[in-house]
Amino acid sequence: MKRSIDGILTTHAGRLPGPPDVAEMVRAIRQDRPHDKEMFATRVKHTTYEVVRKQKDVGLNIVSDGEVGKLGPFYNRLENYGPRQFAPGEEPRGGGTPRGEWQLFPTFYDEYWSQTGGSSLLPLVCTGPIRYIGQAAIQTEIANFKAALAGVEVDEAFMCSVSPGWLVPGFGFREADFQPHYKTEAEFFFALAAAMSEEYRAIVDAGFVLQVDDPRVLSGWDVPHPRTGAHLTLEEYRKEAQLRVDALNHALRGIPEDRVRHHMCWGSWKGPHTVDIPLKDAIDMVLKVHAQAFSIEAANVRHEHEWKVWQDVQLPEGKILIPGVIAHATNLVEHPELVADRLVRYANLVGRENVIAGTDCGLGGRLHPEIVWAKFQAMAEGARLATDRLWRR
Amino acid sequence: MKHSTHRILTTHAGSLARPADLLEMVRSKEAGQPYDHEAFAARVRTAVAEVVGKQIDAGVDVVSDGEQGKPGFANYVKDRLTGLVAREGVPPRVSSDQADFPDFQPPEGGTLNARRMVCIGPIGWKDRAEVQTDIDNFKAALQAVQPVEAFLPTVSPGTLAQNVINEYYKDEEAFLFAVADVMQEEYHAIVQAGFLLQIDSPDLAMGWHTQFPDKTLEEFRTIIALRVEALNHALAGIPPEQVRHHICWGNGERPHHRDVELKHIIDILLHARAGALYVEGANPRHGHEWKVFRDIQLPEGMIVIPGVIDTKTNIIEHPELVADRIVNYARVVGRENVIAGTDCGFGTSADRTRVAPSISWAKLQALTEGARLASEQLWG
Repeated sequence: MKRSIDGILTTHAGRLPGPPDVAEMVRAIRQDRPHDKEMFATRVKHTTYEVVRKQKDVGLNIVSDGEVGKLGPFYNRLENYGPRQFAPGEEPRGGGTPRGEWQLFPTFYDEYWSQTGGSSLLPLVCTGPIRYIGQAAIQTEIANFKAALAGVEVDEAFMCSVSPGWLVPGFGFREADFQPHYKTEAEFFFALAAAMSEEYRAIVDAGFVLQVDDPRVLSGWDVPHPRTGAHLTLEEYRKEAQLRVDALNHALRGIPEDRVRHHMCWGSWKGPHTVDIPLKDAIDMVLKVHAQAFSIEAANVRHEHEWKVWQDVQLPEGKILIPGVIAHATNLVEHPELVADRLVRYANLVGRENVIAGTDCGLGGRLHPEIVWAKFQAMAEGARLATDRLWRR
Repeated sequence: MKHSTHRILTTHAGSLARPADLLEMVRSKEAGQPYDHEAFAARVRTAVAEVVGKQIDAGVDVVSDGEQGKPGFANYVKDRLTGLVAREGVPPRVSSDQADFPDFQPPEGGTLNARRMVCIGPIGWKDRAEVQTDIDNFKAALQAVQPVEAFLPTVSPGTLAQNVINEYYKDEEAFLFAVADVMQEEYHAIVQAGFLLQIDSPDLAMGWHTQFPDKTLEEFRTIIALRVEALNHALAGIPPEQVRHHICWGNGERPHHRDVELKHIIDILLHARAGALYVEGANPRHGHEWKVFRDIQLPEGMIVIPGVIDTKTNIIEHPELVADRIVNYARVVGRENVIAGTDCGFGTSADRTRVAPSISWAKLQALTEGARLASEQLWG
């Protein structure tokens, strides 16, 4: 994996905005409406080509395919795994919605979810042995990305996949959701891991850096546990998170650490985020993931102060930090000087060669496309300013 | 004006969310529909008392009336002054940051400020009683509590030059000084009532990308220098230490990448006869500008009120981040010269609730908690 040897490199968290027609086709496919399959395939291929060039044009060093044709939901790539209806009394908003915060700001959340379409993800259930069936889909994505990269000089290219922990809505299962096919939740997690491992290998075998998206390790905090309905203590939470880290490492076994970057965040909804778990309470576990680079939200106002965590935590030898220096939380375009200030703080603590500039989360779908690209420009410019300062040019 | 002598004091930019029932009355009033004048007056009075109490509960030191009775921080003057009418159908200005991204729709929220004020005759006083009502309501609300200090916000001549279409005076200079001659009465009334006077001058910063996108920086500087001169004319006779001067780049959640740099206007801002300079410092377009204060010499005793809380997003600042921001300023200008504020108001237009009211109060709590953490660091 490339590191910032001659200057601060730039990257982002993966998802990029595509053109409206592709987004509309993705919606049609998701909603089982009629659509032109060939046209979709062609447009995704072409859009991948476009976003690669745009990334290059705005000065990004480490680029992705933008996930422009990813259909989701992720469980489509697994056999015998899919949504079920809510059981009587089950909390429909348990998945991904911090309950504590809902109680603190009830009117805000009612209005927010009514405007954004709600967050009521259905619970998932295992109906037989879990097996990966996304081979064709991932190979198409790989082929599109390779074709898009032909003739474009970039420092590095990465593709995203999801962690076993992210495959779980909310923070855990009811026993009925995985039994009788798997005896324990841990066993089920490792089955999910073994299945996803196939996708990870495909990405790495194709020569790309693999980014594992693993927000749940942080955003699962304060989601009530489905078996008990209770909020977890920090100790209980760390135990649950540890299981997810172990499962992820199981999925990553045999993959060289220097081909893997790990992305985590606290959830990208535009709420107050007052109940987010502090980074200092989870970072030690995260650093046990067999990845070389760690992409962490750090640009929004709830987490910007956490650069100071690295005053107390030693970044292990050889690892790379990708702090978010651009936020999806606001339409305001970060000033390049502010981006530079943020990067220099990290560089001063963990070493300039161990810092790559990143975004808090994927910006595609979370901000207006025009603003996304303007933010990338600000990031690239900020990285140049930081490089001038750090390499005393 | 009190300095942060023993700890970092906290304040905000003046306007605060209106209660829902009051907002309904404000809407009727602004729409020209019949409304119960007595009920409105009574509700404004209780709302002011409520927001004062809530500021105290949140730990805010320097409190305001929340501009509860005003439809917006600037357009309220149309009810007080002669020569102004509100006109429908004037197309809104397209700011340069919006022009760069034509299909981006800013999530502004609020329509009460959509009508443009037009000056069609001599500016003068139509209703002096409204200023006195503000003062009386605020005084009544302060009977029950003891904040460190209290301020009332008011609008600058320059901001009216920005917001009002002048069809009467021969040029902007004539308009500015006519407004200054009239508005000085409001300024004096507030100071004589024993309150700090806050002058809202967003035009001095936001004017470049909103009103004058075609002007060069030098041309813009000339324009705002004249506006500061008009403001100083209006402030004649008022001790600068009674005056805080609020500057901002516009309270909309939009790109802001065309905002004028603070370093390019600060010399002009410092000419205003005000004891405190109050600037945005929290949002990501201006979060780096605390460094501007390293390169300038502040006049002796001058206070800086930086925004350390963003008023454009619903994510609540971590108190640690608030403390970091305050400490940045304190190290540069001296801890006793810093009062922690918010970037702008939480109700600049009465119906602009981009930040949910419940969240705005939680943000003020984060502000005061952050100031407490900063005070621990700075006073050990």
